[in-house]
Amino acid sequence: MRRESSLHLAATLGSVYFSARQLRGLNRLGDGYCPGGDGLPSFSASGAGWQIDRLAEAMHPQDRADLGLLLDVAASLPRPLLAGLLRLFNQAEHLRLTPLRLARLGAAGVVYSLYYGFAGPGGTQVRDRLGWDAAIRTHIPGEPVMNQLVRDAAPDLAVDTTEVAAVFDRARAAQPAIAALGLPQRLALLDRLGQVVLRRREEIIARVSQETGKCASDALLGEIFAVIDNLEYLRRHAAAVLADRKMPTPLAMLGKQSRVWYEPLGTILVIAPWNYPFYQAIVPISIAFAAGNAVVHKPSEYTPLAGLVESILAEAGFAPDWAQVVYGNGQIGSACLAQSPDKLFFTGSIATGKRVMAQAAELLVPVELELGGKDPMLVFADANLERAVAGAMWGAFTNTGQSCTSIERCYVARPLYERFVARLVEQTSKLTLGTGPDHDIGSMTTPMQIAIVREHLADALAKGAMQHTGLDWDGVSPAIPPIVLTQVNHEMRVMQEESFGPFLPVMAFDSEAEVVRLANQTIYGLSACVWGGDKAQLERVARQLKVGNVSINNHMITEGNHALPFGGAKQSGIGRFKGEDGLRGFCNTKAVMVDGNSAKIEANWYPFTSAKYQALDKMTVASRMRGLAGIIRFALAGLPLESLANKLGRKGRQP
Amino acid sequence: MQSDYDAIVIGAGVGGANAAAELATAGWRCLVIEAGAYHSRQDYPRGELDGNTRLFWHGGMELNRSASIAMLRARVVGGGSIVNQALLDEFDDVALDDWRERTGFAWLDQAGMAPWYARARGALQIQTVPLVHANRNAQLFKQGFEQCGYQCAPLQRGQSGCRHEEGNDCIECLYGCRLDSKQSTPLTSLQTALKAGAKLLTQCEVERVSEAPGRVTVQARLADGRPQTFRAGQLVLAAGTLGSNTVLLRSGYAAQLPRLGQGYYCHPQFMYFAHYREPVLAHKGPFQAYKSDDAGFRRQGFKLENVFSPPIGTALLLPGMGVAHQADMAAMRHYACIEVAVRDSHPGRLSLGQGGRLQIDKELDAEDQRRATAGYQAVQRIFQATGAERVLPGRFGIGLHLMGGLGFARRPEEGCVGEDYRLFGSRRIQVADASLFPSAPGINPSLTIMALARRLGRQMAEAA
Repeated sequence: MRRESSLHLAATLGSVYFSARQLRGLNRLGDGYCPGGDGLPSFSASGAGWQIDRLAEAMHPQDRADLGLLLDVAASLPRPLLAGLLRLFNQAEHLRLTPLRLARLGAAGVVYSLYYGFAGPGGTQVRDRLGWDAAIRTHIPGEPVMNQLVRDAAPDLAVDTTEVAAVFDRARAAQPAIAALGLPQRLALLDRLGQVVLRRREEIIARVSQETGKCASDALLGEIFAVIDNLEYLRRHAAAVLADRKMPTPLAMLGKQSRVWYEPLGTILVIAPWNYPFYQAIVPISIAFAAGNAVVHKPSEYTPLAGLVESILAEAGFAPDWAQVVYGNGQIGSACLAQSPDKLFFTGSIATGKRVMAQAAELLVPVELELGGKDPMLVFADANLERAVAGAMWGAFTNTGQSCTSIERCYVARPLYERFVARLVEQTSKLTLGTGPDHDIGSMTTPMQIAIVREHLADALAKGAMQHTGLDWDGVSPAIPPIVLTQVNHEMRVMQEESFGPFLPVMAFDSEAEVVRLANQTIYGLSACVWGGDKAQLERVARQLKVGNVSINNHMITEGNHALPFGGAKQSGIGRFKGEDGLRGFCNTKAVMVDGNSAKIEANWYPFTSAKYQALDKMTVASRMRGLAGIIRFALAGLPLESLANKLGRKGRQP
Repeated sequence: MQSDYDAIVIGAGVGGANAAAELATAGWRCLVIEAGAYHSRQDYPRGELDGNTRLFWHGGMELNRSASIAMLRARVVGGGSIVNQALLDEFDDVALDDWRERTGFAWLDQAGMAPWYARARGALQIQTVPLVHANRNAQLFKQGFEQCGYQCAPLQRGQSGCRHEEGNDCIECLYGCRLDSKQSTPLTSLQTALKAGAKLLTQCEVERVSEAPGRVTVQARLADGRPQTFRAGQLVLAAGTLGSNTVLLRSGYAAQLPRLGQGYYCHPQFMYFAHYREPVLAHKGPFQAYKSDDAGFRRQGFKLENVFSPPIGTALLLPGMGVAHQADMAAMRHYACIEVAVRDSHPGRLSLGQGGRLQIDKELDAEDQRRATAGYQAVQRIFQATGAERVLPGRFGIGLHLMGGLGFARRPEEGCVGEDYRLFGSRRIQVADASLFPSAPGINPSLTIMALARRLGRQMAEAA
């Protein structure tokens, strides 16, 4: 039973275009054309079938539909009949029967493309058996001049701002209704949202995996579990965080009441990145919505998940205008910001963050920026080796290194260094690449990020770094194997700029002071982790790191705890997201004081006279109360002032 | 919604880039729109699978209606110049005389074309494939030609140096040249155009064009589905033969142009593999070094080239299936390969089928079949003369040179485009790709597309 459901999950993850049954059909068809033997794996054993989407996404929709039919037939026919059908296809050239020729080319085309395109894990075996060793061995270094020319040549596209304006009009019109729902109603909706996300998780994982290339487990943990966890935090704690607060009232204001109210800001614009497209949609939307805001969400053009977020919100009972999705690139994001939302919540790179903040400055739109990181891992000599190595691998390679808080630098105490590197290399080379549930590391999401990884690697190697793993990466493929580097230094880009890829550069250190200096030697200040056995030392070091988040003997867990604030120091960002700070960050924090409707005239009101000045002066001196005597002195100064103020106030200034 | 340019060029392939280079350097504000993405030597796909899906339309091939010929249509900034073998030849009298006879255009002769060929050549580097690195496939080709008394010649190729001594195999560059040797348009004419200020919009597919007094309008769609509308004074259609014909068919020009989509040619190519006892390693080194240069072949309407195909292509072409087919694949290193390219005389037709999808009617008639057979006989003789153990004929034809459909002509009854390169009845839409070809030349078209596009660009610039 369990086996079946996990197979089903694998199959769903194998393709967004074809069903599990159709993929079974493909494997049967494939084994007909490529039965294997004589040093070659069979089609199904090569695992090439799971890569069908690499081909399917480029196919004409009509051809894809035809192929689907063919795969259905292949899945249902008894094997002898299927073999007969394939033989009939094979005779098609001679029979000159067009439909059969088409079927033959379609079937053989898909099978051969995947199998002889060396797509599956068995591809290397196929390539070796064929002796296919064509190569380009010369590497031409540097960036082609044409790259910049093409970037500069991109025309300014006309953006339909009327559409964007209409979205914001609808959001602003809808917001009072969201506020009027009241918090319990909004939290009930968010609870339903959690149910829908759970029910539709396979579909969400498949979509996310398709658009980002991430592996199933990364998608399950980073996009589903973390979303549910956040919704649970809101369900349990939002009411307390957003409740009106009673604040202390100073003695000078005796008789008045002090309050803080957390009210909605209005319309929140969320500009999201491509690394966690579902999480970065639902989590900001749900926090902002809990606080009573309408939301406009602009996903990355690389991972739009077109229609998915709207469909899930609608199923949970959200009205369409409560949280709307606007699709497009940076120009669309800029057009949204030009609508002057009440706050911008931006997650992305430092470069884009600066541009966005400059535009927001003109409009005085408040911003919260979650930008990049170059997170250091500090491993002291008494750290548990197995745990630190396992944590380093996960921390550096999770989501293929495309997390703003992934470990990008690793500093290991000299006495542990050799053993740490040896174990790390050994364990890293066992990690598997792919998008299925048995894979550890998925693919890179965007070509530009692949280019950065390539450049950082080339730069590091040119400056003397040693590469221990991932030596078979071709420099282009989005499936980048995890890369462990040693003999690195701070002159290398890989130790200074955000790589956002599966790198783990490891450097030895000799003293606590040195490693603190190295860890802080960066423009980034997102998060960090410190590992070891001396609690006092770990805390001492953690306090010296200029970062927004720090984990001790772990990594990325502050981010995992939705009760904690998340955000960066230095150039890693502005503001805090999640937890109390996050909820209140989407609020207009309103200060309130309540006084009585009496005839009383306040001491600081008009008119001012010399006598009142002296009384005010006495009270000012007494207001620095110390001990019981101080309080008595303040009362003695205050009482005459109050009666004088009332008398003067009632008479008014005498001419 | 307004975007104003002096000219919009649809397609960043060989024709579009050369026209844009002329227009932009003459000071025109140009926008080049390309359906494919931009790649550089740093990020061309590695391997045939991703090459097919990322650099071609519809995953690598489009079939004619009877599924007997597969057309390969590039979809990438640089178009055919990224995925071709960059074989650059001028047309001979046989080809140009035929065109002149069909169109009556006096300049379609060697003298009239000479300055434009010179201009096209001047924008790139051309080398003779270095024979010292020729692989055994090429050697067998040459040896067979000599033994059979046929004439062959080394290939002229648009390349700046492939450094074969460092172990580079040009077959890898069918998915873009990672050495920046192949003279693809991003290294040559397109680069010139961008340096002169032309704009380039990639991953944007043109859906329709229309013309009104004073301007042309182009309706297009970005990769994320957003529609875009552009306006310009002039339009240069250079989306390649299948692309340019599709755009005009979709835009309803069939009413204005009765011959739209007719006169389609594709130099059907038939590949023949032959097994040799000793390894041939046809995939190593320059991978193509010779072409036939035989007056008899030319008269009979075909030519031969020494070629090879990577594993997916080979698998699709080889006969048989199952265990036997896999055994044949495992013997790939022992195959030589010769291709017959037919100078097709029987025109096909492009039209829109169900759902507005392009439909290609293209068959070999008796004459073209005779040409293909004559070529096959020559191939068999060559294989026999060089000791081949077994010949494996490719199971379908391939169309790499897609031409016609908007042919040059005197009158709308004979073609679609007049001597000024404009569609008949149009003042603002001109054509700058192989769809202009009124017949199949039987010679690699690339250099002539460049020359024709250069000529158009200069004419437009001078007329303004």
